[in-house]
Amino acid sequence: MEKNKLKQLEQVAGQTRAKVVETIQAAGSGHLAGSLGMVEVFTYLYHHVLSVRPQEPEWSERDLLFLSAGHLCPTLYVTLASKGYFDSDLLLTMRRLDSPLQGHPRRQVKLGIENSAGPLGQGISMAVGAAYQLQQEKSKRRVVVISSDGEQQEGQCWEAYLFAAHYQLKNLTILIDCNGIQQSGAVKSVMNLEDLKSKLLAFNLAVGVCEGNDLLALDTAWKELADVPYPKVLLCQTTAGKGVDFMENDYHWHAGMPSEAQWEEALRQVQLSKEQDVKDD
Amino acid sequence: MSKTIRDGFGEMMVELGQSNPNLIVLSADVSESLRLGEFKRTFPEQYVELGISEQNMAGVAAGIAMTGKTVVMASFAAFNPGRNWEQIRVSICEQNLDVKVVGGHAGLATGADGATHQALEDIALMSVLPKMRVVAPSSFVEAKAATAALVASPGPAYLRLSREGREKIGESKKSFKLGRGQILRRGGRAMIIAYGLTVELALEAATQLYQDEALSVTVVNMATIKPLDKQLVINLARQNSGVVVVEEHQEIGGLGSMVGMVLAKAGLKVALEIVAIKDSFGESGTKAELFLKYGLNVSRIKECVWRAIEKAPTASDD
Repeated sequence: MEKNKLKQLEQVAGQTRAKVVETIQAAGSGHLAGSLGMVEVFTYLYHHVLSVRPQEPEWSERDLLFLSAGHLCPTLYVTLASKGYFDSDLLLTMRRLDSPLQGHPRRQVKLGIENSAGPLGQGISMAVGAAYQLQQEKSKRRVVVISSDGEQQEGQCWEAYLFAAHYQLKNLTILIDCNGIQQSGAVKSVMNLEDLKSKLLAFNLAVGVCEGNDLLALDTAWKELADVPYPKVLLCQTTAGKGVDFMENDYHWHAGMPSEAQWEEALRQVQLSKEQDVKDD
Repeated sequence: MSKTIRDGFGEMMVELGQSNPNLIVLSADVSESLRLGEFKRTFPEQYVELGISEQNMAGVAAGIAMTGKTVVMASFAAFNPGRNWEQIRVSICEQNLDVKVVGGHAGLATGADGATHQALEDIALMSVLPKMRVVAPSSFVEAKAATAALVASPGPAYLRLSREGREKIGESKKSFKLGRGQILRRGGRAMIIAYGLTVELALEAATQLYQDEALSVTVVNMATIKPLDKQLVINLARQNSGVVVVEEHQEIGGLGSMVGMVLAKAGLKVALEIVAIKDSFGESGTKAELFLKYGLNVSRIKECVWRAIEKAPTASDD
């Protein structure tokens, strides 16, 4: 990736991270750990990879991004705003009555949102269905789905992987947020996934692994998988709560809310980083 | 050539496939049992095998519908809906997608396979979902019409199919209309409302009551359970104060409970009897044996008609 492009993406990521904290603070509830951890992935996909038209959200040739780990929606919403699908003022209404930005995404809202999400496993099945039909039609459109490590505990995911492999869906990429935590604790302690990479390989999917908070690493891994003629999985090793030092790697922030003082400190840290990105120019 | 309810579905699907390249059919390893073998062979590009994965099937159906297709997804009613109820709730209903859920082998008539395969709760499961329409045809001919009507009507729908059934019921010249009950026989004092395989039992009971006991009752085929033809129920209840609902389904959450709600809310002076499965699972047996054992039979229906008439408030009670 060209140096200027990388710089630009890092700036967007810094702005997104700060906006995610502001958005969840305004809402009073939301999922900080995963949302903060997945900032780089959303930034990379929407600002570098996906062929979409924010002014024409239903453009018939657009790539499709399904959010299956629906609780990551604050980051989806902030990214969609940054891409121009809607005004960022709308972000402050997230989770409120009548807001189009619901606690978990709703398809009928549109504004760039492709699917309703929340019950884990469902978005992956929708994605494989869409990918199947598009491949049947020899379409050039790509299908991307964002999932999480905890989500892999739902059996439906594995039904979807059988289908993806059986029908050799080459147009499908699944990005899994591997932050090692979930609501009740470390994934290892709650329901151990063990060697997830080997399991996915055994299901006949192509698997890449990368540092999920490193845009360059994401880019390298994405490019390596790009032409592989199999359904693809990219295991993104992210830091839960990335960008706020007292949240990092702590499962309590999966859905936990900070105190007022903690909010202030969190905002201070992410806004400082954002300013630093600009200064480094 | 076999002309059961499921045969009607299969035959119409092939007819629809001819003229509709946007019609995609999904099945979970039961294509022949659901009479989709012919569709699969004739339109292989429009048929997708899901294997024994009903939850994924519902999601895949949604994903395909999202690309602009009309999707029919079929398996045994015990599993579809049932196993994938939550997926139908969110992926299909909440997203309001053009997916028809087809539940085959519904009811006791599934027979020897036994309790686990006999769906007696599917009408309740589907009726309670927003956006979902619920239809249960009573014959081969009606199954064909219902299939065509649902495929032509965008949005989520549930089509309940039996593995049994006859070519046609009654001499009614009226064809299937989504959302409308069908009066098969006009009488007074009591009415029998049924759907699916119990419609012919209702007609037989009415015939016997007339021939043997000079009692002429109304019979209604309520092929669309949701949206329920409330106006028809209310209008008929004014002349037919004894109301009997017969269904191959649990009493709780079935059509009887919905009819009861309509009647009570309208403040009508009626009495209700429900001939249905009384909070139990099924078992292995032939359809005839099971219907007899579980009370889905003509003599039980006749008894209930008289009970309803006796319970119903009459003019002299005012």
